[in-house]
Amino acid sequence: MEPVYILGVGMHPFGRYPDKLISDMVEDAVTDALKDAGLAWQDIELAYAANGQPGQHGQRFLRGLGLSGVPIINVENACAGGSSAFFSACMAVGAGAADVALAVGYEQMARGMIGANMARPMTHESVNGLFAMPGMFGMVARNLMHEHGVTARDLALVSVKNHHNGVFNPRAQYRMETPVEDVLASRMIADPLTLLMCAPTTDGAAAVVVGSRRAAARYANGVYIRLVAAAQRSEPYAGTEVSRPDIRTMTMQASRAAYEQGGLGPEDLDLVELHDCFAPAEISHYENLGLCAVGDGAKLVREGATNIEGRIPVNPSGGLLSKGHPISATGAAQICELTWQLRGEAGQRQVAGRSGQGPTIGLAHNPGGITASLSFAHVNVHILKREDALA
Amino acid sequence: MTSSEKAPAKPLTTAGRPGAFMLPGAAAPAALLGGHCRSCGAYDFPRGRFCPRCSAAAMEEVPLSTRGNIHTWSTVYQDPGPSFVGAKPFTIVTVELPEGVRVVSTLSVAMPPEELRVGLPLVLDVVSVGSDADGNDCYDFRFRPA
Ligand SMILES: [Zn+2]
Repeated sequence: MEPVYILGVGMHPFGRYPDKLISDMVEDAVTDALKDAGLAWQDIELAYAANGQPGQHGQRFLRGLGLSGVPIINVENACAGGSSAFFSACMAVGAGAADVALAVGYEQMARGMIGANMARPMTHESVNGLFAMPGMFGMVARNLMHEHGVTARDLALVSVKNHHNGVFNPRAQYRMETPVEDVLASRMIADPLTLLMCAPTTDGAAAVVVGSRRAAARYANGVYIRLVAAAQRSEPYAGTEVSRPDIRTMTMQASRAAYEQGGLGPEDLDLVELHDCFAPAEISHYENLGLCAVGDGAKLVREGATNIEGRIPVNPSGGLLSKGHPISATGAAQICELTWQLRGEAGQRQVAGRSGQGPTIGLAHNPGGITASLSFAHVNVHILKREDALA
Repeated sequence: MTSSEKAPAKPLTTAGRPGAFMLPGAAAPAALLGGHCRSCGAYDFPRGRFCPRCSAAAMEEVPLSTRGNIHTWSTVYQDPGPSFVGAKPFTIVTVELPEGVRVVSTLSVAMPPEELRVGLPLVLDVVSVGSDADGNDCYDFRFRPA
């Protein structure tokens, strides 16, 4: 594969915009990304649009930018939609199908618990409330407590950290400190998960423009953000060796593959944006991404190792918990954050990197969907690297 | 079908598959119907045509044990939406069956949180969940403490 570069990123701030047109949010995010790249809409040769609702096709929401005739492919991959669009755009450029490609994710969500809003036909899943994600992650949390001594306070500390980071992110949905007592005292959603341990429902859009070496030579300005690994997995057979719901196996396999592709390890990372849809997911994924041994995840957050100033900052953007989780936009927004961080443009939430001279390597982790056998359905792991010269 | 004819009792689909469990009858008690791979020995629920482990088209239908243990659980306080049938709050459970299969459902009886624990023995329960759009009396499986 030929080298692939991030040329520009843009986001419509995440939040609640029930009266805003999706097309306005998409146009804002794409326009920002194009401006960031120094490109025009007519320069986009291929677009992947991640969306989660019926009828929300990219052809409908991108046409307002101009009828350029650009091919547009829709991507639906649940919470992993945004990173799946990004993966596809990168692969197209890497294969030489386009010099410049766009990945955009967007969502306008109904209020309430993710998965619970719709009236559905009577099935085992619908009459038992099994589509409701908080129950699934309540079970994940219970499992961490039983197997590794994780406490409700540990879960709360994840929320405290990510909400603190979100205070410094002008594009985050919630910009408020949440003291640990407030997290623990907030409304019980799915035991042991309280409201502040759950990502909110969110509207928003995020866009990434990627390009070939040739495009980077023309448009990037001396700082090059290159894709060094892109690994995907769907549900592997994990037998009974792992607990269910199994949020571990797929991420372990995908991150291992990504490290191998990049010729590096978790110890080389300067920051991570991971999928903290619920607080226990962050603790589990510290372990699944190899940031620490299995069973040691809670220790990282207790010791502050994953704070912005810590050994390995995780979710400096505020994560899903604070920034919000507009399903199909989330994975693209993680790429935006890595790019800003690697360029040193993250303002008050800027991480210093292991060298203290600014971060050079960042990892984004974006899983989605729950299967009938209680595993995640899909995961993407991407690693980006800042370089001072073209590869 | 005329309105005077009684529609048959109907088990709900599980993971999109009909026939995932058997209603109690004269000859046999209620049971979950799983798959057992004649090639590698893996169990699956609900039964598909191919083995989840080795992909062999060798899945035979077997009734699974009606007793299991709590693998993990969560009591859900948030409104589960209009399709839910039962009392709220409700407790969602992952149940480990002796065959090594884990199935997810809810408890058919309310349990105080302090009585719930990993490993708690449960037994299969069949519950009436009302009638569907075609007027069939529908049933589903849940679990209760053994
Ligand atoms: Zn088999």
